[in-house]
Parts: sequence; structure tokens; C-alpha cells
Amino acid sequence: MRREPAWRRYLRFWGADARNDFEDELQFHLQAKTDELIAAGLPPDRARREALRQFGPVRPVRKECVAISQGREEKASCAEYLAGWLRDLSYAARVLRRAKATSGAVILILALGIGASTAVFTFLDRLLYRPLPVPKPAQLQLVSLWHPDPHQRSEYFSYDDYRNLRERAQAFSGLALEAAWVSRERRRGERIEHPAEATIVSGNYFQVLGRPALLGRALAPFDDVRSAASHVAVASNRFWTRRYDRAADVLGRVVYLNDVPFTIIGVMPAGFFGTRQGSDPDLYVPFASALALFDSDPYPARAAGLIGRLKPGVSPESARRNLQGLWDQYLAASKIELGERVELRDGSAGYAGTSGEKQRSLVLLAGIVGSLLLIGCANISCLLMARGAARQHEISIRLSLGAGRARILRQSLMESGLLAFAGGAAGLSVAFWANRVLLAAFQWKNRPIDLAPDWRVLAFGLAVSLAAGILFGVAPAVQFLRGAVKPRLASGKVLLVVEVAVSLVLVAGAAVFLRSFQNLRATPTGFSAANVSVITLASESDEGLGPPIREALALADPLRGAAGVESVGVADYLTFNDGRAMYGIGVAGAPIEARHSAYVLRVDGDYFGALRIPLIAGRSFTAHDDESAPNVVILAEGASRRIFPDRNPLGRTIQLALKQAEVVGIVRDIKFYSLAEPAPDVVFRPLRQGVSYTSTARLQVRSRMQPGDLAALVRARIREAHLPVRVESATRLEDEVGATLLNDRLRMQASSVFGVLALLLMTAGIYGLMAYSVVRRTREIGIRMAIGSRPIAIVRLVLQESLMLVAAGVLLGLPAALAVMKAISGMVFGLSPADPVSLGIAAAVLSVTGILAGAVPAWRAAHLDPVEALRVE
Amino acid sequence: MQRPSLDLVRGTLDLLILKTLTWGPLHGYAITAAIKRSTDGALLVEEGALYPALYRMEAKGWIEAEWGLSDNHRRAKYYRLTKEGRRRFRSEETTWNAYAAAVARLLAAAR
Repeated sequence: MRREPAWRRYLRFWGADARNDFEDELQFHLQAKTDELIAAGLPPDRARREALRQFGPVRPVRKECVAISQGREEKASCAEYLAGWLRDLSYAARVLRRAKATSGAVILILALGIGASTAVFTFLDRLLYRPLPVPKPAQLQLVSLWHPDPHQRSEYFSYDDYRNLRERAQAFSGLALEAAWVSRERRRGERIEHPAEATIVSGNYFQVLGRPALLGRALAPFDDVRSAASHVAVASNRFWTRRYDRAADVLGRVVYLNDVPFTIIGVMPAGFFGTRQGSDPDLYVPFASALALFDSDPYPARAAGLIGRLKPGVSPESARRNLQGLWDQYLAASKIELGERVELRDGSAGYAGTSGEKQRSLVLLAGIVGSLLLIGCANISCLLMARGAARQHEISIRLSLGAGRARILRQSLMESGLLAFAGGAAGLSVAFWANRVLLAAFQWKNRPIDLAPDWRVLAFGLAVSLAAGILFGVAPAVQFLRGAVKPRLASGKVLLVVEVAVSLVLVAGAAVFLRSFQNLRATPTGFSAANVSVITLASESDEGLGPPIREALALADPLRGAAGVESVGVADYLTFNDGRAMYGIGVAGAPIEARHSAYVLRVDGDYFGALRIPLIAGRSFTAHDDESAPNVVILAEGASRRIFPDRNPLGRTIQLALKQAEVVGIVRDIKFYSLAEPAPDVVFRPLRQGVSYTSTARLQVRSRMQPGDLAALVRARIREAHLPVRVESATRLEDEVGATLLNDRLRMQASSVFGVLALLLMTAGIYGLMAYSVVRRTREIGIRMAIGSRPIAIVRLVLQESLMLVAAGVLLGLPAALAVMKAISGMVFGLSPADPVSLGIAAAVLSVTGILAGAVPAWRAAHLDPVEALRVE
Repeated sequence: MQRPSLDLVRGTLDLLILKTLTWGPLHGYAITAAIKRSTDGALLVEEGALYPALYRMEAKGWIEAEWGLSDNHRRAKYYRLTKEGRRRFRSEETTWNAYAAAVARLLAAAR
């Protein structure tokens, strides 16, 4: 900005009076002219008249000049006002730059708090709460069923269910179905990079959602009939961009799903992603085509979500009654009485993009960062309050020099606004970075989650920072102007006690998650994962169904002879971090009701040796247990006890789905799929018998070699023998087991990081307050010393105060911590809901922190020079 | 008193004022006097037009004003060129010289 010219201020001394100014100037001019004429010889009165005559008519000139002058004056005063703000702003920036430590701390706290919460809330919004990009999303309802026995809710319907409800549901303008599973792009003899995923929907899906296509047309009910001659698909905007580079001639192109050709008839507009948050199917195909895609009839399978759009003016409750009546009729017709209750819930945000453990982790994280933001705000207000107190002197001087109160308020508003703005801006970059951390932490890197912060998130961040700034920056100034001589410490203490209480909750939570994670890590799995590498083999042959068992066995043999390899086992699934096959098992001939569900693994005989699963009784599998031999199984202890509670199971026959098999061995129980759950029933079948529903085989190699070296060996062998398989991956079994602890690790790490941050903030807060308190009490301390107090007594005096604060905070936080621990007990393994050890650790950590934070001010107080101290005003 | 024979071409007044102010700060009366003196009375500024012109130029930021004392100790408003005004003067001067030369050439050719 150009500096304000001096004359403008000068002008203000006379007041901005354009008319008088002009009059003065005119008089001077006339006088000068008259003087000149007199000097030329005219008598004074004639000279004056002549001067006036030469000047001409005065009035229009005066009018014009005054008008110009006033116009400028207005502009000038406007500029003056703005210049005032700018001056205040640059002054504020100077003040903040001078108090580097405080400003830096405030900006850092705001940036971390706002950044972390913005990122977490962006995720919550994108995965759970954002309304679907369709017209009138509030009319959408998600239908679910509540079964009284077993007590659970199901969101899954079959096409048959849907067809039965669709026509007669009067309360809805339409009911649509969207399968919960996807079909993948596949064409025989072709390797497709980044294959498309298709979701299967009812023909009226797009009509019910109300979004027309961008190009071509969306699916219509007439596409969803079994007699349709050809198969059609609608592409998502993302797929159109990715695969066809937004080519205009995309309509009519063909995509092969499971080797079946689908013709693209339309492209959806950008932003449309169906009804599942955090997903974006590449293609939408009608249900009628599903029969061609899958070997079994997909119509009776209950595996699709039912979405309805209410007719205008219909309440969800009357729509529910409408559906309930239809559902009861439908069940009565098929002579089933289940007493199922139809439920509707708000479908404006569609189906949640995350569920179960991850959703709980995310919500937990939101709670943690929210608490941290709270602590941060309390801390900032303490900091600013202490600094406000230090600046009273300056404010008094400005007041006595005639600065208006409004001006002083404006000044402090500027400072806190500037701080908040800087914090908010830094927070946005923190949020950007935190988004990436979250994507990696939740293993969502490949999901099409749109993380661009939208205006709501930005407004949220800005509102938080501005509110914090105004609340904590202007409040001290107001307090001072109201006449408080020294801002009292009471409000600061209250804030600090709250801060300690929230910190207790966070630290106790961190302790709980740490201990729970330790417990999980220490849980025996029943097998030994150390030194076991997993080499995953995928079939390269066209037949492609089932795992490449023959090849895997052919590869396992030479490996056994390799140097450093102890044993090699083969299985179809891993016990952790992999798919699962579940069957109903029971004694031979048992009716379905009397069967237990059990995990079934197909393994070769060396599997138990490689994983060190001890055989308790009977024999292991041999190469002779193949399709030509009778079916045999090995049971894990638990399963054997459940099926044969009081008999020796060896030699007995069990029912395994439709087949029967003889029990030839018993092994120790192993954990399956989850470390937290007790060992489930597990049944082992020989690799050469039966079928698997996976396309990979897993070599499990116990050796001293790295997975990568083993994979190289295997690849060389594959080339040598021209086997139609490839190595898909090579990992450590330990890592696969650890991968199932993703959420537990996430919670442990997040709660620890934020727990430490909370402690740091609390330390800073206590330190600041105690330091200020010592300054305030300098005189009192001086007197105490003068009358003989020893330094240790002074130290005790200060420490007592800080410990009292911590104690009050702990007491206040205790019930909250207990409530939180109870709420998170579902995510915790092997600890009682009110784990006293965690609480004890938290309280101890907080007390030690309190003492440490108070130590420096206490030491300073004890080393005051009593003479100097007494001199303080 | 004789009436001046030359009326001012529109827009030249600004140029004349700017030129006189290049010599230093002057009050309104001194500006008329200076113009008259340095053109030997050939150009006479209409005083009624001078002040609106000054006010306009001040509003445009070409000149700035300050109250001061005149030679005979009267309070007078002194005008002074701003940087902007100096720039303006140079460009107007160039334009005027080009214009005058062009007119002169035309008149010479017509003869």
C-alpha cells in the first residue's frame, strides 16, 4: 500500500470542510489580484471590483469545486477507514511475529486439531453421511428385515422377494434392487489390465434413483427380462473416462463379463456412484443377465439391497405398514412363519461405505480427534489469556492516549482472526496429508473415495478456527475493558481441569488399546507362523476353475530338497487374511438342524508339519487319499468334541454338506480368521479330494529363506517344467496373521499418538498457567521468603497447586473415562471393561506429567531474589 | 485592458498548469500569473476555469495541495506535482508537441 499522503491527515485538522476551504482560497486569489491592480495604479475600491469582474461568475465555480472536493473527501474517508484496518492488520502481524513462541504454538495446535478433524470428518462424510447425488434423496428408504430368532437384522433380499413386493407396494413410487456382489470383467484367452466390476441391478434402478444417463440411456425395466436377446450395460462416468478416454462413440462397444458379451447403451453423469458410499461400480447390468453370468440361478439368493422411493406425502411409517402387510402375505403363501418385521431406514445417504470394524475405528478416531481439538482450544485460550495479561500495560497506554475501545477490540479481533486464519490455512494442508495417512491406514488406497474437501468441510474448518480465535482472543480484551485489573486465573484453571479430564480419557483409552493389542499379539494361534513363507500360485490355464493343486504339489516336492527348507505344506486357503469356506457338519445322516458350521481347509499331509500343528491321534493325509479313495477328514479337537462329545471319533463317519467322510485323525485346535475369537470348529480335507471355491493354491514353506528368494526358486522351477501357473505373491505367514490385526493396530496407534499429543498439550497448558501464577504471586513469594520460608517450601507451594489441578481433572475425568472404556469394550480383547491397570497407568502418567510441568515454574519461584521480588509493584 | 487574442484549446489548460507546477509549488493566483508572464500575455487563463481544473486534477491525484503562507504572509493553498502528475505532464507534453508539429506541417503543405 502506498503510504497515506501527509496532506490527508493535514486536511483533517481543519475538519473536512470543502466550502470553507474554497472560500479561503478564493479570497486569497481576489486579494492578490486586487493588490496587483492597486500596484498598477487603480484605486482600492475599483481594483476590488475589477478583480471580481476578471474572475467572472463565482457561484458556478464554487459549486463545481465544492462538489469535486466533497467527492474526493468521501473517497478519502473510505480509504482512510480501510487503511485503518490494514494498519491494524499489519500491526497485528508485527505483534504476532514478535511473540513467536506463542503464535507458533497456537498455529500448530489449531493446524493439527483442525487438520486432523477435517480429514476424519471428510472420511465420515464420504463413507457414511453424504446424501446420494440424486433428486430428492430424502424420499429414499432402505428396507431391512428383523428376525426375532436368531436376533438379527438382514438387509438382503432375493429377486423373487423383490418381484413379489414391487408391483403391490402402493406407498412407493418405485422399489429397486441392487446386488451386494459384483461380477468381474473376464474373457477367455485374454489378460485384462484393471478389469471392470459390474454391479447387478433391477431394471427400474435408475428410474427409482431418478438420474438419467449422460450419454445414451440408462437401464429400463424392459432390459430386465429373461427373454432379452442380448445383454446390455450402463457405464459409470469413471469407467468411461478410464477405459474409453471419454470417447463419444462408446455406445455400442462390448465388454465381456465372465465371457458373456455386454453392449454399452449409456454412460452415467459424473458424480453418480450408485447407492454404496465409497464405491463406484464400473458397469450396471440388469438382473436378468445374472443367469448368464453365474452357474446357479441368482433369483432366489438373498444377496441384494432393496431401496424404495416414497410417494410424495407418504410417511415412512405407513410405507412400512404397507410393506409389512405384503411381506406377511408373501410368507403365508409359502407357508413359512418367521415373524419377520419389515424395517425402513432413511436412505438419503445410501448404504454406508464402511461397516463393522472399520466403521467403528473411524468413529472412534473421530471421537479422539474431536477431544483433541477440545483440548487444543482450551490450551489456546490459556495461552492467549496469559499473553493478554502480559499486554495489559500496552492496552492501558493506548487507552490513555485516546484510543477508542472499539479500536482496541478491533485490534485484538485482528490478532486472533489472523492467528485463526493462519491456523486454519495450515490445518488444510495438514488435512490433505492426514487424508493420505488415513487412506493408507485403512487400506482404502484403491477405493474411489472422493477426498476433495467440499465447501461444508472447508466451512467447518474455518468456522472452528474463527470461533476459537474470537472466543479466546477477544474475550481477554473484553474482560480487561470491563475494568478487570488483572485477568483472574479462575477461568484458566477451570479450562485446565477440563483439559486434564479429557486427557485422562484419551490416555486411559490409549492404555486400553495398547494392552488389548499386546494381548492379541500374545494369543496362541495353535500353529507356528514364524519362519513360514506363503507362496501363492494362480492358474494360468484356461480351465481356471479351482486352485492349481496338481501344479502346487509338483512344485512342493523339489522345494523340500532345497537347502534351508525344512518342510513345505500346501493348502487352498490361508488360515488368516484370506477367504473362508464354511460347511455344516455333523455325525453321518444328521439332519440340517443338528449340524454345526465349521471352516473347511483342504491341505496335503505335510501341511501340519510345516505349520507345526500337532497330530493328537490317528494319521495324517497321504498321497493315496485321492478321488479314487474313500473320503477322509481330520478334525480339530474342538470340532471333534462338539460332534462326538463322548465317543472316540477315529474311524467314525461325519456328514460334510452332501458328502460323508471318515475321521482318520485329530489335531490341536487352531485359531482361524480372527485372533480375538475363540478357536472355531475346523475340518481338514485332503487336497486331492473335493473342490475349492478359490482359484489359488498356497505353498506354506518353513525355511530360513526370505519369501522373495523362495518365489524366485519356484518361478525357475515353473519355467523348467512348463507348468501353467504363476506366482501371484510371496509373503510371510506372520504378516498375514498380523494383517488381520489391522483395526486393532490402527486403534492402538491412533490412540497412542493422540494420547501423547494430549499429554503434550496438557503439559504446555499447566506450564503456562503455573508460570503465570508464579509471576502473579512474585510479591507473595518474596514476603514468604523474607519471613523465612525455605526454597523447598516454595517449590512445594507451586507443585501443590499444579498437582491439585491434575487431581481435580482426574476426578472429573474418571467417570467419563469409565464410560468411554465401557463403550469401547467391544473393540478390546482380554481386558475387563473397567480395566484398573489402564486407569492406574493413565492417572500415574498424568500426575507425573503434572509434576514435570510444574517443576520449572516451581524452581524459578524458589530461586527468586526476595529483595527483587518485594520490589514488584 | 486588452482581451487576449487566443482562447485556450480544450484540454490545454491542464497541460499549462502541470508545466507551471514543474517549477515548484504555486498557489492558484501565481499559476495564472506565471502562465501570463511566460507567454508574454498571449495566453490568458480564465480564472473561473482555473480552480475547477485544479480541483479535478487534485481529485485525480496529479497534484496535491497544502496550506502555507504566501510572500506577504497570507494563508494560501499551494499546489504541487505528485509523481503521477509528473508522469502525466511528460506524456501530455509529448502528445502536444506531436500534435502541434502535425498541424504545423499540414499548414505548411497547404500553402
